[in-house]
Amino acid sequence: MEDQVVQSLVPSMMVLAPMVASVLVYMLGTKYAAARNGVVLAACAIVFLMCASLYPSVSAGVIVESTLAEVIAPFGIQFRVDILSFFVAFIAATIWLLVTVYSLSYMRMEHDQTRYYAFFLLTLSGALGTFVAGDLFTLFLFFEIMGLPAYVLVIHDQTPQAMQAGLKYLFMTIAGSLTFFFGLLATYELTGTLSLAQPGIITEASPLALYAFIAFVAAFGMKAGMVPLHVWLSDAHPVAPSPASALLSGVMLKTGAYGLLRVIYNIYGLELFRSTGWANGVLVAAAVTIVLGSAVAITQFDLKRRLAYSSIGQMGYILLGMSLLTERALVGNIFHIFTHAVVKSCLFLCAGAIIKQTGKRDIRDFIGIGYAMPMTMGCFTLAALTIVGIPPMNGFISEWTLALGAFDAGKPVFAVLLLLSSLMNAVYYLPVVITAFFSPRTGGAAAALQPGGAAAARRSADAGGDRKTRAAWWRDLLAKEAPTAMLVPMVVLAVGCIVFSLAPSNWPLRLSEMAARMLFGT
Amino acid sequence: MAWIQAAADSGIYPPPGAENLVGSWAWVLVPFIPLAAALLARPVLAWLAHIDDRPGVYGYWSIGACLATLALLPALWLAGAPQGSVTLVGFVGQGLIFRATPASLLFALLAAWLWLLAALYSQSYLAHGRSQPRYYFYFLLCLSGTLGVFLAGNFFTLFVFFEMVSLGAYPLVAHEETPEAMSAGRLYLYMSIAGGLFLLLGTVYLESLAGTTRIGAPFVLGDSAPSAWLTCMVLMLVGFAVKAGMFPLHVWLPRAHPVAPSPASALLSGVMIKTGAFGIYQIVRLFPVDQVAAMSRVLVPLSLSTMFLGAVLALFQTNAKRVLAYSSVSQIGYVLLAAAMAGILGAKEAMSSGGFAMHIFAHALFKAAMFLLVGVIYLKVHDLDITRIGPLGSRMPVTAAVFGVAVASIAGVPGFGGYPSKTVIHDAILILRHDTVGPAWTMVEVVFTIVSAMTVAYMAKLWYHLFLKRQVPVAGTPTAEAPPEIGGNGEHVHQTSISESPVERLLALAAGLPLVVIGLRPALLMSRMIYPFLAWTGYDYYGIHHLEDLVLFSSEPLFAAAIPLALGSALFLTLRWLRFAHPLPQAGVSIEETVFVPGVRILDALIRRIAALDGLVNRSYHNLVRSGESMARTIGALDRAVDEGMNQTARTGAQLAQAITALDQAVDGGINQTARAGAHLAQAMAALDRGIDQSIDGTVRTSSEIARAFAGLEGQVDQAVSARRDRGRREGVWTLRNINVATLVMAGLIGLALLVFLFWSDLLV
Repeated sequence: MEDQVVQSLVPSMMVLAPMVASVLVYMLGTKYAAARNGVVLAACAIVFLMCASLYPSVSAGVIVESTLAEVIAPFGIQFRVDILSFFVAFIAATIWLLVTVYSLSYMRMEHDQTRYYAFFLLTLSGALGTFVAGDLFTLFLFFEIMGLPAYVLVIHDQTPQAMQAGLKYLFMTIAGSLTFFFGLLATYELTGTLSLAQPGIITEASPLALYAFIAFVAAFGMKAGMVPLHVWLSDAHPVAPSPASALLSGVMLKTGAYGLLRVIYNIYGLELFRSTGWANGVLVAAAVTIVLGSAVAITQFDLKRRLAYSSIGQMGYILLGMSLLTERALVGNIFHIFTHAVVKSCLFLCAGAIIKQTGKRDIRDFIGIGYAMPMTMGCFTLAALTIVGIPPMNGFISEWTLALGAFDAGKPVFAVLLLLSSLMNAVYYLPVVITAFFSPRTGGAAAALQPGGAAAARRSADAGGDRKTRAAWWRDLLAKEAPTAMLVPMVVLAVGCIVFSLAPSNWPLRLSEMAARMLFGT
Repeated sequence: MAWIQAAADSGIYPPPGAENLVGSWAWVLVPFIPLAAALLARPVLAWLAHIDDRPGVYGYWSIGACLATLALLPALWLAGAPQGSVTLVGFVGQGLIFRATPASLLFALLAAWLWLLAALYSQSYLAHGRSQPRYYFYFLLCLSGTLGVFLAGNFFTLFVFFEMVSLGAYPLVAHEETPEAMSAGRLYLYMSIAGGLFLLLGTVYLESLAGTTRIGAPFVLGDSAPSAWLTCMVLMLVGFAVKAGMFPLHVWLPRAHPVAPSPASALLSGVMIKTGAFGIYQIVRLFPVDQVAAMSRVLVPLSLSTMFLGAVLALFQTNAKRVLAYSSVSQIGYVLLAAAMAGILGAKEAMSSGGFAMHIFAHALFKAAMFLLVGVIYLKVHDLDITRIGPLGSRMPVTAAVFGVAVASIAGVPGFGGYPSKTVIHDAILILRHDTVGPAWTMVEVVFTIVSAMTVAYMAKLWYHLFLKRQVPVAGTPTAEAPPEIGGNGEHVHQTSISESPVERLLALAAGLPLVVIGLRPALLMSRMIYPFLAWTGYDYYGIHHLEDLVLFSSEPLFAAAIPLALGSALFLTLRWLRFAHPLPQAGVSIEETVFVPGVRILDALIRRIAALDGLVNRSYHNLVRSGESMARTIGALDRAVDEGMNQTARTGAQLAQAITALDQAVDGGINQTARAGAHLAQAMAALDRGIDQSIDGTVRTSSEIARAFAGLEGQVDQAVSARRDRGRREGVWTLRNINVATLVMAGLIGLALLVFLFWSDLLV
């Protein structure tokens, strides 16, 4: 079946719009702060709408192509939106839009907002360009456009830790792009093309092909936080401002996963991996990543560091899904890209709200925070349960599909690993929730059940002041809750964790299945 | 797209008329009514009606929800469609399937009834407690989960609801938020989650082995390895066993059940642990026969250990709720034994399966009643220690009587609720003993009898201490420990202030009535519930007929029941004579201490190792960067040295070039001068020659001419000298005359070299 291809300007415009907006943001500067914020929001909204407008054609199996420029003879800037590209790009656009709304409230009192927003938009452009790239060169280009501006987001606070973490990030990004470039050259040398349109362009195993694969794995694995290339992640994500952390963990890590997915299924092809077993290297790395990320997260008490390590573990799920080389595992992988993007953005936004409102970062200090910020902690709880894989959340569906994929591949040990990791996720997420909502209190319900306590409670009820004090109590509680502009994105994301699995047709799962079918060529 | 799809589900052996599907979809409502009630409680009560601060309003809401659920079940029964399956398409990714069968109905009715009772009791128990919205939310969530487990049409759906029960019960366990409750809750939560993951793994494995997880027709062995089926089964078994509280996975149970509020304990012990047993039973009935038999042979000793251990530990507890919790462990052992024997007996003999269902029913009723009544007692005396409570018999006669009925039921006294089920299970043991060679089943029967005797003893002890025994303040027990209202000696307080309210009497009677009904008219339960249940889990007439032929009130079963009663009474009296109320020293072996705590510690160490590994990776990067840095520094130094050398060379070269140029100019100037001097000399010589020539040719020339000639020579010489002086003055000035081609080329080359050097040094600086 030949794919139907249409030419359209939308993908190009979608990628360029944030770039243009980024320049505008700089020109407007702090002098016209309101206009600047408006531009940022408008740019993200436009990108979101443009991305959504691609859905009807893409879901019908049509591939939307767009050529921006011919730069050097074989290398043009080409965009190609198939179902997988659309899915990840749409995730990115949605999360960016939500995080923008959040940022406008979160960053209100921060310094250097113009710089932040300019690079925020550049990063969006890079991420989108990576997701809709039509060939490896374009992918490389936008991978850089995303990776370098993100440095500015990481070091936004300019504390010594931030600068150091930023430096680490920068070095590793550049090292990654160099290895990527090597892979790019090797691919071109081997095949004479860099297209991502075929199911595999390198068809024969050769030492150079292996080196190129290793280079790709290193480059994308670095971005995806694959052990042992993860070290930048656990430093960079916690120091960045929380909305930026949400993007780094929610979307940017996925570009690495996405790139590797394209390399495995569109550059090399399944047959090659089935005959050579090269993907087993990724498989082992993924297993180590899962265990290490989840285990280290248990030992962290800084909330954002715990979340960052959790991201490492979760990226392990995604890497595992793509390297098992079965269709169901691939569905799980793509679905988990969605799940984790939503969940981790939500968690980082909640963490940001908590840190902003209470100044607490250490989870052992969170006693009773669930009563101070019920909405925030509610969202946090929902997201945490999703990551643990409690039905009927999205995380459970990923886990189910991935585990089935592991059984399909005849490697049940990875299913065991997944569930072990789930247990570890429970061990490091649930205490946060429990500390926030339950805490061993000396008085409380137990005291009220005691004779004296009960009598006291009755007395205060008889005095008639109960209702009034209760209302005041609620007012006090909600006074500490995050502002609405921050709550809305969190709530939307938290609802996103559960709503699809309660619908008769799980839309993201269906898209994942379509994308997996496309990559498998079935 | 149809959201809900109903289909005929014939079960394993369909009774006639199974195609009737009218109203099947309404079955879906059953688990979702409590769920909807839980989710809507706060929006409706607090946000719409603004009545959430009235006392007990959440309690009334929950009672209403339980009533609605309970009312729906008979309605469905009357609608005539307790068969068929309903699919909620696409929910939770895979779609949820519910199976409407008499078996589901049996358990759903049980759950709904007990939840209603517990909701009624919660009203007074929680009257002054905090966090009522939370309590009732999870209370209803657990009902929804339990109903979902019982109605599930495949293991996927079962798992989804099973997890709902597991997690939903945590807030109930930790409700009091005391340190003990938190710690028990933690143990419960992590064990449940771990168990849930085992179950999930098993379910995924099943899906991959059989291609389906449908609960209906037994799974076909297919071309998968039998060992794979066994692995799958064991994984699922572990998951269910954690929930059921099977030895050695029971450790959470005796800690979690006593700390929960009593109505919640009643549900935890009465119904929720049965979801685990129910799951095990489903495995036993549906998996390939040989594998099931193999697993069951392991399950039998495990369930016997569970029975025995629970009974022994219950005997030595002084906290009333702990007695009941250990008793639950012991009784779930009976249920699991029945399930295991059903696995060994296979589809030919339904005796054990019948015992399984009946004992779940009976135990749920009497254990829930006991927990609820203990809760009432706790509300009045604020104490659970049976060495301090009592005697309440005269003050709370109805409570004492109903508690007595429950005790008689659990003890297996003929005429009470536990007697039929225990007899049926005992008969199943007899069948196996009869069918197999060797003493194994005789041993099982002996253990069964001993455990039953111990059950009689610890229950008699509990009842005796609560309601009859006059407590004597124990010397050495600090009385200040007791709560203030009880004071130093509780009896006076009890005798003066404790009484039952009519509502409490009514509730107690409601809790006790079913036990008497089942005990006196077991046939009612059997024909309405148990036979349909058996038919729907795959037994035909020939399988059931032993059970049907069993006459409960005949000499043989009565005699079998009398032995443990006699033994137990003897044990009780002996121990009473030994004043056993003071607990014997706790047995030194605790599974939690010997297995789980070290296990957790090992895991913790492992995690720390892994964290250290992460640190190692991080450090190695640092070292890499540092060595790269020092390498860069070395290269930089080298570079500077080279640069310096180049500059030096360039400077030297330039100086050399200048020197050579100067030398060249000097040489050039010298040569020119010499040449010029030579020319002048030659001119002078020529002039001299001319003079001499003239003097030779013209002899007649005068001396004046000679003088002029000499003067001319002199002038020439003067000129030459002055010319030389002029040249000396003009030296260093570039003129076209004194630059030749070679000099130009040379200077050009040197200049170029200089330029290059300068360029280089610029680049490098």
